Amino acid sequence: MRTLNLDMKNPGLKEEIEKDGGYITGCIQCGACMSICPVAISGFEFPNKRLFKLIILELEKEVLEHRSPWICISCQRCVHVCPRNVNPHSIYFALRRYQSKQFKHPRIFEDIVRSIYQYGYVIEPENSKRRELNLPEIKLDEEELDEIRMLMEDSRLRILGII
Amino acid sequence: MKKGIFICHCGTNISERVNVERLKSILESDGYLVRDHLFLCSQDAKQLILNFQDEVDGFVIAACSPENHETYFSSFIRKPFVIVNLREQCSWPHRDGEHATKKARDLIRAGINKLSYIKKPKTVKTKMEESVAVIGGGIAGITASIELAKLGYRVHIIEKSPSIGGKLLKFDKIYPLNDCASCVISSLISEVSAAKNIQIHVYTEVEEVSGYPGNFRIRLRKKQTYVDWEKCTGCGKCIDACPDRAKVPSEFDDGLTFRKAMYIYSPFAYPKKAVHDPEACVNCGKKKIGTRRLLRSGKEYLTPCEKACPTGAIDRSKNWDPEGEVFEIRAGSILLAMGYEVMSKDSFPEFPSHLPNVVTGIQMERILSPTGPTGGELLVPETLRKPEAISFISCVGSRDERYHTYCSKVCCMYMLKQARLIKERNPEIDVFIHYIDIRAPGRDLEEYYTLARKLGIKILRGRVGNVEPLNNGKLRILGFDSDTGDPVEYTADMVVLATAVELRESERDVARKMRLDIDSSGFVKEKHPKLQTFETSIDGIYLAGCVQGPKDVTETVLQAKSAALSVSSFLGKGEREIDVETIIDAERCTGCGMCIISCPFKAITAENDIPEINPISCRNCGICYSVCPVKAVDMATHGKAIEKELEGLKA
Ligand SMILES: Cc1cc2nc3c(=O)[nH]c(=O)nc-3n(C[C@H](O)[C@H](O)[C@H](O)COP(=O)(O)OP(=O)(O)OC[C@H]3O[C@@H](n4cnc5c(N)ncnc54)[C@H](O)[C@@H]3O)c2cc1C
Ligand code: SF4
Ligand code: SF4
Ligand code: SF4
Repeated sequence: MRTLNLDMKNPGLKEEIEKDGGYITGCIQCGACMSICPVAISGFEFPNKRLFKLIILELEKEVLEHRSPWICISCQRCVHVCPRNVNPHSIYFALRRYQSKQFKHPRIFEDIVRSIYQYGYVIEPENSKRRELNLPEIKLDEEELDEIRMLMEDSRLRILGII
Repeated sequence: MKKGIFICHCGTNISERVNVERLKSILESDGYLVRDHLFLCSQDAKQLILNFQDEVDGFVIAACSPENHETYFSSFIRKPFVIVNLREQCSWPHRDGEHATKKARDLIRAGINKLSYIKKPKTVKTKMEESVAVIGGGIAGITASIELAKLGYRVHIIEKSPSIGGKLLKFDKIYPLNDCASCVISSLISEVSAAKNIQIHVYTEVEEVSGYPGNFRIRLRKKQTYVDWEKCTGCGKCIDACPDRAKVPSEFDDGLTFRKAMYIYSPFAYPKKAVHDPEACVNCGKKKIGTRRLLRSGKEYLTPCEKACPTGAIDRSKNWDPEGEVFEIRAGSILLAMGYEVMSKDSFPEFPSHLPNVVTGIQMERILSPTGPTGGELLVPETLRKPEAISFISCVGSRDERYHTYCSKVCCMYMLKQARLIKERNPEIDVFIHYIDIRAPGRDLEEYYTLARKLGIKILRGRVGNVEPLNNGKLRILGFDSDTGDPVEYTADMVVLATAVELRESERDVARKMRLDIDSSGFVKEKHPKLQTFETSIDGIYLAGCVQGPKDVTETVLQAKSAALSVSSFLGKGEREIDVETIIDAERCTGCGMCIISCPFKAITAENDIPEINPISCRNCGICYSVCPVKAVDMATHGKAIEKELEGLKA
């Protein structure tokens, strides 16, 4: 626990995230979204509502430091239980984009993105090992791979220089 | 025929402690006719009681307190009956069933004993005054007066300040619609001022209340204004003439500004008349009130205020009586509508309340109001600059064991209102509300709260522990946000303390003059918290608005209109039938006068040395019965009958 200094705010933060993630000031901190979130239930530090409160308080530094948006598994259960029509899931994704834009995303995600760009898969398929085990090789044909690369080059990933 | 007993189970309220079956068999073996029922107050039981009374000479109803259903039972039972309280006085206070059953048996036997000694009281009729005294001219008093005047009653509004209108005149907007408070109250003021049968007495206080329901006499004191109101036109020229140094904190601006020794209570005061305050007067013209000063020419010297007044309403040479004018009015009924005050910020040493930038909720209303010190522009009191951040702190003095345990009910909503008004006008100002719980029940109120959140007002759950003054005139707020679980701190330009709504001791005294009860929160107590919320323990005296407890305008008006209807149904019959319970036997009376001096209600008077009890003022307390040395006082159902009841208990 540490004292939050509410003077250190970024007055544009909330609007910026609402643009992508939708309405957030309505969050009344009831915690329903946390109560059913599989990530939170299984014991990960996943304090969704805390994150929303930090956004409402416009505390950019704390919001940027938070790792939890990246653990979301997109099950969308939170979306159905919120009594205030907040869409927690879309806020996590807005936060992922917001953090990436400022290079505050966890570094491991860059490796993943690069792997997708290179191989079309989240991790590099280890085909030599698969051959030893008599498993079929995994490989996208060039045409499919080009399509993926084109999509990615069109996205902000290129602007950000991640790929 | 014999005596009977009808025992009520009261669901399980009585029967879960008192063993009704055993009780029945004991009483039957005493030789009584005994019945029981699950709910004696039900319609189903009514027929059984009617049949039962044909079988007996008289009977005991063993049920709940006679407070609850005595009137109902009396409405159809024709035989003598006595109610014995087995619930409040037996099953509820006792844990041990054995003991409770034994006590129930004793109470019933005592009741049977009493039964033989009760008599039917005689009745008298009394005529009632067709007028109502409404004490307090806020929105409660005003709406009730309008209703009563429409119903044809003569109404006296008694208001202690120099203007009617109450708190609403101080506000800019009122929730839930954020409509203009002045417009709401001003149109009502116009209505009462135009009504022929409403008389408004401002700057007037209640000195004494006597008489009885239907015929109250109220002695009033109209305080001295030192201005001839017949002549005063409210032009305000005297105020301009009165020097700046003759100043005291303004009541209307709750101390945010000063007013002069000559003043008009508010820009929208009704009546709009000047008042002279001798305590603030610096006697700039060297002419004390009641003295004359002649110029060398022999002409009367006029002080600046006297000279300024175009109508000659101010005359300092006149020997004004500082006591004002005492007069009496008569009223069949009284409606108390004395409103509330908020606790002053100085009551809270934990906040730097001496600082001008720490204000109360009411002061914030003045700051936001177009009639306020800054014409409605939001400026920091000390610097008169626009604030960057404002902090609201809720429950200051409410829900706090050190001050008041109750919730002041309106603060959550008015904080949200003020925060919204600030944010709507100046979106760049950071607004924080620190709360314990937000309480927003009622029509449109939750939606109001949601809208406040949407405007970006920062709402933090948790108390503020400290407000530190900084060198640059700003305030450091140290609080806690239980949503994130972290302590928080920030700088604000102003702090608004939502101090508790309370009733002042002076207003409690007015209620005490009428022998009304004060509840544990310090407000005037209603007769029943659910069923009689604007009636009081005294017939003919009613309550409306915050005098009974904190409430918002919606609830206040609802209660005021209901109270007006009750006044009308009380007075409507024109006369009242009263049981004459206590009488003095003139044959036995020796004229010693003991009863007269001991009666707490001044109900006994003696003309020609024979004391007589006024049945209307008499509250049947029985004190005269017990003090009379020659037992000349008789009571129809409480005197001898109670003695016999006690004897029954002893047996
Ligand atoms: C800061 C603040 C903001 C509020 N904002 C809102 C709002 O936005 N919306 C809303 O619905 N409610 C609001 N309220 C509540 C609202 O003020 C009350 O509901 C309303 O004023 C109650 O009316 P009343 O007539 O009972 O009392 P008051 O308005 O207090 O009027 C009482 C009158 O009686 C007079 N009086 C007092 N004692 C005596 C006496 N001994 N003899 C003769 N006269 C006497 C007083 O001078 C006064 O004129 C707010 C309250 C506060 C504290
Ligand atoms: S469920 Fe909705 S309102 Fe409740 S904490 Fe989550 S986002 Fe906020
Ligand atoms: S100058 Fe005279 S008329 Fe004008 S407000 Fe003062 S007292 Fe009234
Ligand atoms: S106390 Fe009794 S005896 Fe004395 S005056 Fe009263 S009624 Fe008469």
